[in-house]
Amino acid sequence: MAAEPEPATVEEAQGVSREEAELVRAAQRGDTAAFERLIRAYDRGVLRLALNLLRSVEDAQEVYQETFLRAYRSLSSFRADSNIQTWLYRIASNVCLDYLRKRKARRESPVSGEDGEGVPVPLLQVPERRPEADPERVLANRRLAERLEQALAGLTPRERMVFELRHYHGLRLRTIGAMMGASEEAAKTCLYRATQKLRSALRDLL
Amino acid sequence: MNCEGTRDLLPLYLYGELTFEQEEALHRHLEQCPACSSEFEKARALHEALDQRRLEPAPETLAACRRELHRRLAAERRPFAWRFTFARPAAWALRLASATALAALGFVVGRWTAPTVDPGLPGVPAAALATAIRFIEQDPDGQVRIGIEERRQRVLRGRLADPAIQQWLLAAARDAADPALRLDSVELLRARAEEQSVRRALLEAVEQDPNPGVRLKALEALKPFASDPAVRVALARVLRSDENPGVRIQAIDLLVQQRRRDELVGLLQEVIHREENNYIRLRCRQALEELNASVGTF
Repeated sequence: MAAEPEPATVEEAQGVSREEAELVRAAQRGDTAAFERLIRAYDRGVLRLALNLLRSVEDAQEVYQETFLRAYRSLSSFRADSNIQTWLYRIASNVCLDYLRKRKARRESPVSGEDGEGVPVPLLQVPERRPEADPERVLANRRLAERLEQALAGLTPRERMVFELRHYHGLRLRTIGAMMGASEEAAKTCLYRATQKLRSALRDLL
Repeated sequence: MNCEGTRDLLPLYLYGELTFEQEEALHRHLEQCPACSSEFEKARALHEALDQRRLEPAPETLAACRRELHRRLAAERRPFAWRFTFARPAAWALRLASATALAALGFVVGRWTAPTVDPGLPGVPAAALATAIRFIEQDPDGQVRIGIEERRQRVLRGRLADPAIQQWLLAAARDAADPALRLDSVELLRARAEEQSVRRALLEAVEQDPNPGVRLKALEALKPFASDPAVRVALARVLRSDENPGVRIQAIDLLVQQRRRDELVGLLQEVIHREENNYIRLRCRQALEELNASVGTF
């Protein structure tokens, strides 16, 4: 059997591989196993996005299900030459934005998250990098974490989303803009506004 | 560039979102303006503080999500069959029947229809029967069809080079529910990693297996192929996104073995900026120094 050509560089990881295109076609024909395999490279990222945005394991799990069920149902509209990651993140972003807007409307705050090892922690607790750190430092870190959460809560859902995708997911502003149906410039303005709000809210700590 | 313009650009600078000309102008201004340099340090401190609040989903959470999605997708796959059964009172009764009733139905169906149903079915305990039923449909002529998954153990024996054995091992490495089975498969496949199909399975395990032990084992198997472009692409992804520091350490150790400047510099600069693990940051720094590259990301 002839070997399939493999991506030549690290950067080609962003592109659409032949195997991925085949999985898309199979999934479009209703092959759920192909769909599950297709999303495996991205579903951790989607769950991480939801968890960091919503800071609630339960909500993140719901977003995960809704994102991938929506994706499965609308696979027929996916063009094979498009980027599956961008497409999935676009759906996930919309689902997350709906959650954030509903939450904002209800003035609800989430209750828990998971630390680096996946252990549930109170929302406002940032995992300590070094458990042996001295108590004063631990306390200071917790205060800082509380302030960060408050500052982030002051962002609009859209600002929060752009910030999250750029800061924690490393997506370029051009990609984020495309995902959100906006220009790169609009995404840049949104990120700028978000960082300015954060700086302003945390000015006394800096 | 004046102070106000510089400060406006600092956040975008930290995200590497400025044009070359803007960066140059900003560098020039920072070099000669202590006040703006101080502002830059504050902006960087905020950036780093925000890095610390990142949450990672637990592997168990991801695994639970995948299981639930698998269940929901299976339900999506047969919408016609379920709609059909909802539309008929007899089928409603069917759906609501207890496992015991299903057993009885299986018995009846087994007697009335072609022998596609195991004649020994009535003797199967109700609970076990319920878990073995995969679909229930009614044909337009009123016949009921029940799909039952039969499980029988078979023992296959052969050499590792035997294609049939290899296919089973590949399937087990990808899909076995038990991580110990996936681990055993990966361990055995290691000896055949020069074959493309095996290497692809190992790469999938490295990137997608929910169990870090399996991912580490697959990384070990790929060690001799650290110069393979596909392996390096996977290693870069692992280094960027695997939640387990042990796996990321293994990935960076393999990546920096080959000093490919054009490929590594950007990646290492990106990782050093957001990595929480001290060893990995140190390894990035050392590798960048060996490559005569700057540690900064801009």
